[in-house]
Amino acid sequence: MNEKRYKDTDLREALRRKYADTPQLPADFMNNMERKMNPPMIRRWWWVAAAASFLLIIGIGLTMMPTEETAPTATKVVAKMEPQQSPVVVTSQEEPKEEVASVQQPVSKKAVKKQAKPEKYTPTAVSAIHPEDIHYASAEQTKDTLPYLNPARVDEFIAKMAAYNNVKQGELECTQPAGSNVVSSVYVFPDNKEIDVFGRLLQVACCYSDETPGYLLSFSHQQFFFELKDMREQLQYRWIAERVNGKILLYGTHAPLGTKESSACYQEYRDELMHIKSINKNPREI
Amino acid sequence: MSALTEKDIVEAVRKGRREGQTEMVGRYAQRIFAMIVKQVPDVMDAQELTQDTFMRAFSHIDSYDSQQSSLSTWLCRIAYRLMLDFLKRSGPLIVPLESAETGQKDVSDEELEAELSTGREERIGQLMQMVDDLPADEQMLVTLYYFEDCPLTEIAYIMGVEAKVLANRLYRTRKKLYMKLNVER
Repeated sequence: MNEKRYKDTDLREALRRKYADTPQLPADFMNNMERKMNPPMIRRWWWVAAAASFLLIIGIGLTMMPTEETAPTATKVVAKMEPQQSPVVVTSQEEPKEEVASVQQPVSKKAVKKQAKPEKYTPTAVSAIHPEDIHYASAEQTKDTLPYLNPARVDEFIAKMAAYNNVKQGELECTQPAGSNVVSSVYVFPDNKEIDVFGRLLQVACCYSDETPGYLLSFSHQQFFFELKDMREQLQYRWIAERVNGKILLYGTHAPLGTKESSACYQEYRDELMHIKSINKNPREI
Repeated sequence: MSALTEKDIVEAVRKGRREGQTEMVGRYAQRIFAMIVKQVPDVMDAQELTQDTFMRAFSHIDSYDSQQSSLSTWLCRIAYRLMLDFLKRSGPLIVPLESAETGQKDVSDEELEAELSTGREERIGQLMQMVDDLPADEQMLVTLYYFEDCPLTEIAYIMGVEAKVLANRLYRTRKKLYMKLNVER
């Protein structure tokens, strides 16, 4: 390409003068450049060295690992314990059932049968369990091992709760039939979250197994009803709590088994608390 | 080592050999730096851009085509792009409004050449000032054309535009300087 070259001498001279003192390349440019060119190589070697070290550490770790003979692994320990644990769990529950066993543990039918065999039941093992060691929520509880928990302790707890909150026992004015051996008590607690009577009563009720003779628990936001039988002392217990006029009326009673109890006494007290004239003139069985 | 031809250098760099890279830097660094430092006054920045130019050249050596340009021109092209990027990052590129005025009046090449070749000291002094006010690409164009005596085709390659377009741009730049000189007079 034949291009025309412009002379423009003034412009050329201006540029020559202007760039006459153009700075030279710094003396350390080559060194800096070398440094810039080197890092990638260094970095590559660094990674290779790091990878090699890592592999070496893994190798050493593998060789130093304990062999099977010297230290049994955790799974082995568990495997050894399983045959001992399984019969205890199965036999300490209710009558062994194949269906239950198959759901709990996906093992062969043969194995289930073996586990569920009643001859595995060892009374000595059960008797070794002390009642005081058993928590009410424990899965170890059975009919055979059900600990005796005196229902009178509920009354003791209520009395302590009343004393702590300065609540005095109410006076029941109603008259029990002559010769009656029904013992009743009544308390009127303030209905607040600090005392939380319903919550505490529920806690106490939960201390008793639902397999306790005569166990009956029913509660709502408004009412609480709990019954127990003491087969040792041949007594029947009943506690009724109810939210009435911003208070909680707690009524407890116990009597010998089979005694017919009247609700009149409780209802009279309740009506009085609600400032209404009692309409329950005729006593009824609760 | 200095006996290496341009082809040898390129081949050595392609193979990742250190001596090729060192030779390339030693041979062309001064030119690249000189080109950059005219636009980027800070020496440290210019040095950094020169280094970046070579690092990019090493990594993109496969895209070099000896049929299209010489190695130094190819390096100048890389340097020019890096420099433009740097100037964009440093601050906005200002396009002066007077560029529109240059189209108002046709001035012949002869008239322009006569006006830019007076030999007067005063005119040379004025032009030294005016070159500084030119936008980066025009400054690069006049520098490569007048100071380094590069042919337009080579400048076109460096700046990444067609030679014809560059010829028009050179005309406009000369006309702009002419108009400014006449206004100042």
